[in-house]
Amino acid sequence: MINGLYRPGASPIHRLRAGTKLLLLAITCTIVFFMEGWALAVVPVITVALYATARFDAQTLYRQLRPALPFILLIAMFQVFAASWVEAVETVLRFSGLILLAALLSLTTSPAALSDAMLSAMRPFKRFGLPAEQIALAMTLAIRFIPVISQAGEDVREAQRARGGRNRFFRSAGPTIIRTLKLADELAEALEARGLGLGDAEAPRRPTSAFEPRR
Amino acid sequence: MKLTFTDATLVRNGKTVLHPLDLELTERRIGLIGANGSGKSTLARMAGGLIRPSEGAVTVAGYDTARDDKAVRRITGFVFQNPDSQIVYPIVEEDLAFGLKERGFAKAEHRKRIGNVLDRLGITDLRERLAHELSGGERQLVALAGVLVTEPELLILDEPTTLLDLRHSRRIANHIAALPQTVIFVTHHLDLLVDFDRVIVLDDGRIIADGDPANAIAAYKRAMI
Ligand SMILES: Nc1ncnc2c1ncn2[C@@H]1O[C@H](COP(=O)(O)OP(=O)(O)OP(=O)(O)O)[C@@H](O)[C@H]1O
Ligand SMILES: [Mg+2]
Repeated sequence: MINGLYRPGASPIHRLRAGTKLLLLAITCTIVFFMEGWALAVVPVITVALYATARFDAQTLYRQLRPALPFILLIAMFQVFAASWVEAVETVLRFSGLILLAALLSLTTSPAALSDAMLSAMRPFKRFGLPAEQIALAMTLAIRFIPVISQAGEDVREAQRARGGRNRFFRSAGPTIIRTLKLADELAEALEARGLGLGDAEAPRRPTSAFEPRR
Repeated sequence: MKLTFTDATLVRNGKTVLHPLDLELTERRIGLIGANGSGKSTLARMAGGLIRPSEGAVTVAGYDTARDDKAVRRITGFVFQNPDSQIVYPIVEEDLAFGLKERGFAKAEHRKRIGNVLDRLGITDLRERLAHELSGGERQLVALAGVLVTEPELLILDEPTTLLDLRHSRRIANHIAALPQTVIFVTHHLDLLVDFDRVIVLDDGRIIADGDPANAIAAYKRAMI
């Protein structure tokens, strides 16, 4: 997810509308999920072709896959024993395809465009009380603050090292959480100050004089 | 633009953070200085309607901050010290659009205003950058741009230049001096206030000096010895 952050560009895939990409991803994922046998061999071919079209190199592609690789290999190994090596290969192709295609969407689509697209996808369900705007905002904030929070954790560990402490992940968890809570507090205030939710209020009439109390 | 504080008091956890304040602010450039913990940020937040007085009242352009907080927020822009918490979208350009979107401006207007504000602050090259890849000072400029772009009638700045180099803090000071709006500027950089219309000095939640920059700054320096 951190590696899958948006990389601005001008490729045909970048220029495709976010909603279109979201829909294509949903369709492709469904197809890939149900594909079997030798047909699955086209998945890596298409994936690589799409990455090339988006002007990403092999290293970028690998970086999208790397975090999930241990899990994929684990499942594949299990399948070699439980089922057959053919199914193990199928699993590897299927899952790496799904992950790479999803990553390609977030690599080539700006978070705001993505959140707008999700907003329109969710619109029909607003009638049933789905808080679409809040969900879209929450998603965007998550994308924005993942790097900020991991930086906060890095800062804490660096400070602990600078004071001669050992670099232990769990010792830095407490201070990192406290920083994150403070950040969340400030963020809530900033959202309010920047005008969150002002749109749906009709502007109140301005009083003619500061001395005329409003009612 | 007129701000009034009428017996405005703030008590938090049994501690009086601001003692009863009576103020009428009509000047265009208002500086706010004082020691750490003297209540500057609290006063600034109160002026922007982000916190309500425990007692008394605060009005902004005639709106009571307790009763008409939405109206106050609509015309007020607030820049805090930590830019990280104020940039809410991952990409600079999209973040600048946030306040405009919430205020219901059309897309064409977004583009025009965003281009404009980036140009005025000299950060056009940051337009498509990712916020978390910027330097601290660059992020501070983006946070400021995100507020300026909504063209608030009242602009409250709480130490917005702490991470900036000399050139950029000078540039911001000049920029602020040229703005037509009312500005309340909290800072420890006293030299940025020399051309201000009025400077208020806080100490321990009380106003200890209030007047032209030269006198107020002198009083502040005396109090700090
Ligand atoms: N929610 C709160 N609960 C208790 N005390 C608070 C609260 N908010 C602020 N204070 C106290 O009020 C005092 C004034 O705080 P404020 O942030 O306004 O100071 P400041 O003048 O902005 O200081 P600085 O220059 O360090 O930014 C401080 O002593 C602070 O500890
Ligand atoms: Mg402060």
